[in-house]
Amino acid sequence: MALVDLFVALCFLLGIGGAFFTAFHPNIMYAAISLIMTLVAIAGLYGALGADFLAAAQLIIYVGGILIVILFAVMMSHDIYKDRFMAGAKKYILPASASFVIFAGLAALVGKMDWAGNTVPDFEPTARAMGWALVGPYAVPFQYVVIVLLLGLVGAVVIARPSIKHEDDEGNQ
Amino acid sequence: MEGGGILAGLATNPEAYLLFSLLLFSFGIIATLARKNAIGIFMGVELMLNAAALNFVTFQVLRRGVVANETWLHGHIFSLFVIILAAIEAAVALAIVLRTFGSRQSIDPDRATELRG
Amino acid sequence: MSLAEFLSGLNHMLGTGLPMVIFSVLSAVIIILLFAMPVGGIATYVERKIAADFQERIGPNRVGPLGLLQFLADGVKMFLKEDTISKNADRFIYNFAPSLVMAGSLGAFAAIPFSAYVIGADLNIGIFYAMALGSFVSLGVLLGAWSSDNKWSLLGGMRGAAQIVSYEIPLGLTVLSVVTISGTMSMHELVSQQAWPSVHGGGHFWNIVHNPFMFINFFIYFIAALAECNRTPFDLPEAESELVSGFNTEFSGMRFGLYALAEFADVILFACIASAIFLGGWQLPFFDLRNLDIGLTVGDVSLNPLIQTVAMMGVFLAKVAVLIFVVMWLRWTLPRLRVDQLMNLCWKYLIPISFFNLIGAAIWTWVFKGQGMLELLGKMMGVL
Repeated sequence: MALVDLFVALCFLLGIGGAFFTAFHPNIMYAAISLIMTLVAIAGLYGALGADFLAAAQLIIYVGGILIVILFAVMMSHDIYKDRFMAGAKKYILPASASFVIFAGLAALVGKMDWAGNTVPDFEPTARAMGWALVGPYAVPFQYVVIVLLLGLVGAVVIARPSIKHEDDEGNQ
Repeated sequence: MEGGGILAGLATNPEAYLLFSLLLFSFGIIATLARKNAIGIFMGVELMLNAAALNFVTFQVLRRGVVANETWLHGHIFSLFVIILAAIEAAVALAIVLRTFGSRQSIDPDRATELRG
Repeated sequence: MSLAEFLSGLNHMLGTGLPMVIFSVLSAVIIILLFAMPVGGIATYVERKIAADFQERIGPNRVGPLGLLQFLADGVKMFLKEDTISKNADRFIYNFAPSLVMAGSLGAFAAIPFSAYVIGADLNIGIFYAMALGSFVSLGVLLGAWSSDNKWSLLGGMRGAAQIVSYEIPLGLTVLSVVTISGTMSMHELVSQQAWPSVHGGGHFWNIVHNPFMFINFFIYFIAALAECNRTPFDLPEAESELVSGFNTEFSGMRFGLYALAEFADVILFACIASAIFLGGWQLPFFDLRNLDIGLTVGDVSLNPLIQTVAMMGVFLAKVAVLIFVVMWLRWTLPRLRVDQLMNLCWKYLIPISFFNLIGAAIWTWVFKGQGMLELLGKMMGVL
């Protein structure tokens, strides 16, 4: 057994545990922390797959950005981490069965696939190649993402900005 | 420690990664459908996005000899785009959440029913 | 070396048996602790002495000669203090948050090039990795603040998180412009490129004088790093005059010690990165320390690598020490900013300027084929 296998197994355990609590923990704060666990585990899996740039990007964007924003929102909307916001247990029955059906179907599909011809990860550095890909074959999609980012940023600011003053058409208060 | 063991070859087994991301996806569905809290729903969406992104990288790295010849970066790029779009999704979604909370002191999406006819 | 390579390299360790693995992990932990604890402690002592000098006091002078052992006494005090947890605190997160902060700031030290030969792991994405681990710090601050069930803590934590998330942008942009002009993210290569320009090619001297944009970028990096470490004038998360002690109000004993230590480790980390990517790391002007040869041998073995390493580490740590001194100097000179001033500074000044500098640095690299100012000047005057 190689250490990488052990590492991957640990990431699997951490990720599944985190995902479980993200879905089921009554306290939204703990759900957010479980989500961090899952995201860190996925960053670890990226590392084990040789996607070093993605692993670091996952950490810096998810843990440093998105999760902070989520925790921020949890704290700003006070009292929402109290238990009364938990859905009753019977609210989980339908979603759980639906997701189990999807899980079973897709798992059967995974089992039926022919997995011959697998390759092993080649641990080449990916950062430089990804940079060239982003300005080469992926230049247009990349610019598209950039515009979406810009619009989203402006949109988020517009939505979140408090509109205390309501001016009518004549410009009076 | 030498030899087989239950974990041997786990790191290069695409089925393991796929089942893992499938589990994540299922939990994401549960969180999205069952949570009575906009932020909880949003976290479920993040789980599903991450599961999909992990699948892209898995196929790219472990199956590139089979499904994608000599194109060894498409999966990485796609996952990177997923991460970037998830970031902007987070910003917009949480702006909406905060706005909703500010106007009706609740972020339960079932209670935002003003537009119901 | 890529991150995954590093992992698969760990495989060989397991071949040597479990005791060896435990031994190596333990020794890594002990080395980090041996580095962090005394350095953090000495930094505390130096800070108190400098503060005393600025305020015309004597400062710590009771424990040991010149009060040098004060940090040991502080450490013992912290260990022996009662570890109080307020009644409504969220126990799990409360216990967990300080270690998160510590892990974030210590883990990043693995990528710091102390000399050409002393570097924990020369990752090919070294600088990116160091910044990624830094994001755990803001997480730990926010979680610790929330879990201690205290309004002051929560306010401090929210301020801290908002500040760190905002200032990460100018910080990232300045680092990005360094990466742009160097074409690499490996810390070792970043430093190696900053040699004094020589006839044999290579080297464009320190990145801070690579081009005018980088000169401005260094100061933007420095300001943003100050804000990232919650240092004065950006120490709003723990503003004593308004928030008691901010996010660590409720923490006592060694948990508080971890926060304080992590703050110093953070300052040292950012000084290390600044010195490595802007000030040439272990490089000296006029002389390449890799060619240092004093001819000392023990038997057949040349002592040169050892001497070179010591000299490089000395140069590197001297630069770091100067930066840390400036940080402490600022602390006792400048008043604290208000929250709106803080955000204005970041979003209206630092971010636009650093964007401009990034574009400027990219154009400079494109026009002059990556050569620095000194290189060009040397070629113009015919020296090189």
